[in-house]
Amino acid sequence: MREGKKLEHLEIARPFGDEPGEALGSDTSSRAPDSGGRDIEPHMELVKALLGSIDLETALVDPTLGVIWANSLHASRKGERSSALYLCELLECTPKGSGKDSPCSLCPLSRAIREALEEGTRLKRFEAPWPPVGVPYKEMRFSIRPIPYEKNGKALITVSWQDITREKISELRLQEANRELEDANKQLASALEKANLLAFQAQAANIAKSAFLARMSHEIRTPLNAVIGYCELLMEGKVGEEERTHLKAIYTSAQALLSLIDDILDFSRIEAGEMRLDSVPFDPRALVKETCEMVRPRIHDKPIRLSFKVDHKVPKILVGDPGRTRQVLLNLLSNACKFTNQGHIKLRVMLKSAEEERARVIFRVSDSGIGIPPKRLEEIFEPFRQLDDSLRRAHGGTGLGLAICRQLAHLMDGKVWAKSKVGKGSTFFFEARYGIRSGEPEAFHDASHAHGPSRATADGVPSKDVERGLEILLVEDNHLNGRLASLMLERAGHRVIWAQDGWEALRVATERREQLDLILMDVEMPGMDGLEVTRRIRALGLNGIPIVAMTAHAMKEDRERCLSAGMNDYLSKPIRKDLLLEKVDRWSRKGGM
Amino acid sequence: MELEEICEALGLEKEEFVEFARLFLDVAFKDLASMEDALAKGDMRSLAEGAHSIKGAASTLDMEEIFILARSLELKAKRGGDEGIYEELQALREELIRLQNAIGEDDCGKRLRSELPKRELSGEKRDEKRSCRGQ
Repeated sequence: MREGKKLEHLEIARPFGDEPGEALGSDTSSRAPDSGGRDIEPHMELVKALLGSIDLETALVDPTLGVIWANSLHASRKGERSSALYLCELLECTPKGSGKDSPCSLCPLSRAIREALEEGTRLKRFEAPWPPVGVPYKEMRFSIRPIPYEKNGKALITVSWQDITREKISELRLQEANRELEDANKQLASALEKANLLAFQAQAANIAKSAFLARMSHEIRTPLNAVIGYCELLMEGKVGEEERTHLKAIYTSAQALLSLIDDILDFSRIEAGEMRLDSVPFDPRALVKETCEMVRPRIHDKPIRLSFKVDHKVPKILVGDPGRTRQVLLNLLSNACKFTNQGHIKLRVMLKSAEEERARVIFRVSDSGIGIPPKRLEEIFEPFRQLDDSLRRAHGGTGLGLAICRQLAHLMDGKVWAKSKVGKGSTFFFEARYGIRSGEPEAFHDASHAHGPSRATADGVPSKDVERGLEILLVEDNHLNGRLASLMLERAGHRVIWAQDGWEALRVATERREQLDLILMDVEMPGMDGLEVTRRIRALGLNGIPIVAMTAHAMKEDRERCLSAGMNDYLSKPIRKDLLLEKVDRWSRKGGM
Repeated sequence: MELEEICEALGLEKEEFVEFARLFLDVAFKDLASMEDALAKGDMRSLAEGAHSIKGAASTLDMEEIFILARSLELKAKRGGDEGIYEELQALREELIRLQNAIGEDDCGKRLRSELPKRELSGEKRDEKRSCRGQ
């Protein structure tokens, strides 16, 4: 850029036809000074002094490149040569004759001098491979300047030159390195895009599988519920004993199938990372009591005593997912009921450790049942592994119950494990981490298939989410706008995930599909724009999350483009706090589509 | 807009607005350097992207002179020609430096000012400002 700044006011010289050589510039701001017959001789001492002070090799020559004086000669030779000396020799090039068609007439230096004199330029600079005759082996930079003097009737020109071979090599190496770096960057960008695409496809496949399972679950449940319902109806009516036995068998099988569907769906969702736990305050003592009451009928008429105890050190209120906690306890207690014929089933709740806002709680279910062989104690937690076929036939079960318990425990940052003695009984342990909070717990309700905090109800009543703040995906590539919008939303109590490009937005939308309440989408982004991101989000089946466009273009056709891409609303830019929050509030109440 | 108005519109205190203005300058100078580099290489696409980035942020902070220049540069770059772009880049640099001085961000130290000084626009640019307010 230094060269560029110097050349700002100069006119770039014409390239020399097919000659190699890079023009650097020339000054045509005024004509070269006319020598007007002024002889240089009276001024030679001054000229020598001036030229001798220049760092570069410099010579005073006539138009035929005859050397009048050169500072290198002055330094290395005493006096002037008596015979004519041409600049070519100083430049290590052998003159090849004169005349229009001679090689020397094509020499870039000769031509530059000729043109400078003809055009009247004050200063001409250029670079050229050297020598021009034969095979060039170096790169030279020349500056030529006609001066307003003459010698023996010939015009005079100063020529400075510099060997820039090393500089050129470095420049070429740098260019090469830059090209390689650019190629490497392109390859990296391409690889990154491919990796993103693969991750996106993998995620899409995962989601497609889950969507399939959810659809299948619904398709299977509907007729099963009909079977169960009609069984109940028939059993309430007048039927013979034999028919009643058959009906009970049909009813039990249908119930078992429903249970299997539920388990498969749960297992699949947890495996895909799509299950999210609630985080609400609940009373562990009430939970345990209710769970035991639910299990009690499964004891049937067996002489079993079911009891529970919660240690006094266990906090009065825990913060976590009561529904999933109950699911695990139900499973452990149900198994205990299945495999115990007489004696006891005891549920004990203990505090393992507590910090300021967290507690680790252990639930222990012990029974006096048939027991489990030691080598099977790990296997039973694997999916579709039960003790043996005879027990499966006798007691049913999907083989997923304990596997799901293990998954849920893991989600709660805990674990499940068992100890047992064959013929004596078994003890199952379930450890989980909960929050601790003072105050009244919320009323526990059946949330066996809770899907996390629900969005606003369709009648427009604000959901708890609005009071708690929404989870919002902000897609904005502009650094300042993203920071500002995040600040506005966070100050209003919302949780913001800021994605700075389309790929990041897709990743977050798929990973957080259950949790996101709203997406704010910048439309004009480089690469994949907001419209394309929206189309892809909708193509993944994520239709429940409202998407609001943020766009500087608010013409009718722009709005229509946004809506056809799958957006629900738009917000004009520039961002303004009141309008942004009003839009967010409006879509939080609508609760999706 | 007056400083108080824009602060209220963005939900910021004055000091916070100045911090965002500094952030804007940090990013804008980098974008400007990229645009100058892009012009030298004839890469109009990169130049348009840089202009778009400055335009968006300037619009948010109601910096209309900078917004107008950035928008003009973006449009010219997208059209593919480079006529006048060099001069407009220079003008944009001058405006950024003016803003930098106004918020007291100079090499010698930091001073906070409560007001951004206004500059009378030429008639042409004043009309352009009126016609594209809010974009």
